[in-house]
Amino acid sequence: MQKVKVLRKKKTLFQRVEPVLYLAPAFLLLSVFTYYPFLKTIIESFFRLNSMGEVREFVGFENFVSVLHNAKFIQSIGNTLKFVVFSVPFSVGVAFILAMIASKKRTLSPVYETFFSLPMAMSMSVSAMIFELMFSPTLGIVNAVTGLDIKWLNDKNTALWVIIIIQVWMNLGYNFLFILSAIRGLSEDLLESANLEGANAVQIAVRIVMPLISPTLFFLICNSLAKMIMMSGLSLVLTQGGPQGSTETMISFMYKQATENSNYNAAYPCAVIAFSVTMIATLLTFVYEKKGVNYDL
Amino acid sequence: MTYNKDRLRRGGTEIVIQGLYLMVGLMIAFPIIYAFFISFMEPSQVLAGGINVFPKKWTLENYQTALRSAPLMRFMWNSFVIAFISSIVRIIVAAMAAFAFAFLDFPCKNLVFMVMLASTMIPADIVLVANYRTVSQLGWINTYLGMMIVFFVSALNIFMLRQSFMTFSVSLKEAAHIDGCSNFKFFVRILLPTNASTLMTVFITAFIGTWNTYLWPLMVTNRTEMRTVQVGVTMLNFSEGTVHGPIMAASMIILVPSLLLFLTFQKKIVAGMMAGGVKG
Repeated sequence: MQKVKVLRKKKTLFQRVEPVLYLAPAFLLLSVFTYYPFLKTIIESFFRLNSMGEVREFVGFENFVSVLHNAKFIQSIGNTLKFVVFSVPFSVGVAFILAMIASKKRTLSPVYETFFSLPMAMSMSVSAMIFELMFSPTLGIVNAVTGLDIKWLNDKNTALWVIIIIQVWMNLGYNFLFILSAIRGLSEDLLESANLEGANAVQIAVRIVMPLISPTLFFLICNSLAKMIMMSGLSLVLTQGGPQGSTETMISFMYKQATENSNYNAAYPCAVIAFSVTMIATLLTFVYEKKGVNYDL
Repeated sequence: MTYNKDRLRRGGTEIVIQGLYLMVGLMIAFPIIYAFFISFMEPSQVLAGGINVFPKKWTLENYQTALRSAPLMRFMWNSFVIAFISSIVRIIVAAMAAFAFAFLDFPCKNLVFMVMLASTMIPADIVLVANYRTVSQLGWINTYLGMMIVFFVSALNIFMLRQSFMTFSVSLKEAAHIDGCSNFKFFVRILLPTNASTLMTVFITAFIGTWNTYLWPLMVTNRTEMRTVQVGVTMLNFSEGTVHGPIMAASMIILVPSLLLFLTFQKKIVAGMMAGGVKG
């Protein structure tokens, strides 16, 4: 024992640098591809850059002012918010209903649980291609079944809604699995006694289960808020932001500014604004957390 | 008698309920089933429109068209290389860092750990443009390395592995040291094998995540032969009118790897999700 202690006190040079060797790859990569680009994005958003991305001069908030005067960008902020306001509650809400009905283990549970969680394995592009066909005005199953004659993705009033539906569907599996495991973690006696006292299914779900699993719901809402504010893929694949900018999101706008126009004077401030919106939304949910989330159990 | 009737009735409602849930399940999985059926339909039936779900005549024509007219196999290979190599690298990088956080002593350990975790607050899309600049300055546009490099590290995976490593008893590690085992030997020979299950979970989720990723590979490639499947499938061009069948066939082909992995390792993936909130 004595010997070990002595050895520990006098670390050899190798023992000192050893932790650095293990941490170096991770921190090197994080520095180059997370911290550095993050700082670069913030700092360079205050400079004028040429189309090669070279810094020309300090311009203060001028880039922000100009991008915020761009009607298309303002529209994209509105679209993003509308998208988030509907897709987040629906994807958590529908998953909650699914988890409630699946909560009791039955003979066929493994089968329908797999069906409920299946959207999780789907990629954005494949989902987009499938739903594009389903919502096709002439060949699609949606118009055929409902008898409607709507141009869905080609109509500026419906395009964003189709994208919301696809996104909600894609998030269902992940949210369902989380909520299901939270509900299964609750004590059965509690639900049983509520049942005996004559509470109906809706009362049990809203008054008893929801408060009890609020930490999980809170985690999912936070998690999907951040993801949804960053949404761009579905717009880029399905509508390229159209028709008439009705599906342009903050990130799809940023992406186009950077790749199509090499306009870094617009792209960097967009990124900073999108990040700020995410931060504000996260802070708001944390304020709500203090009131609504119950960690006592 | 009444007891028996009661049981029968309960059995009856049970069957109805389960049948109902199965229907709900099928509705949720409907887009996938729909795409599956369309992919085997004759082009004329796809074009007929209407309520048209089940193939009247099963055919492999769409699969042949998809494979013939697009470098689908090349896209698959690109995606496979990127997903496989970057997941392997990610595990090695994450396991090394997690080992240092779990077992080694060094100054400001908590601060370093917090700095590492803080990176999860920065969404990948925010740094997309700046990373694109970096990668293009390095001349890595249209290369596997350029597509993979941003997936080499994930703070969440480091966190997950650290949690898993910390369940390993420190006294066992000390016993190994007294037997003359170096840190590196302990890491490779003892720690990694005993955590094989967590490493597997990290690998599978990383693989599915990278296989399914879209925006970054789109940004750093512009040559057709370097596209990944997820990018390629959105850019397939077939002669107008017969486009949907082959696209659904291509979607099915692309879906198989991630779907198989997901169904095979569902339990592991879910356990991993709960442990660290795995993102793609």
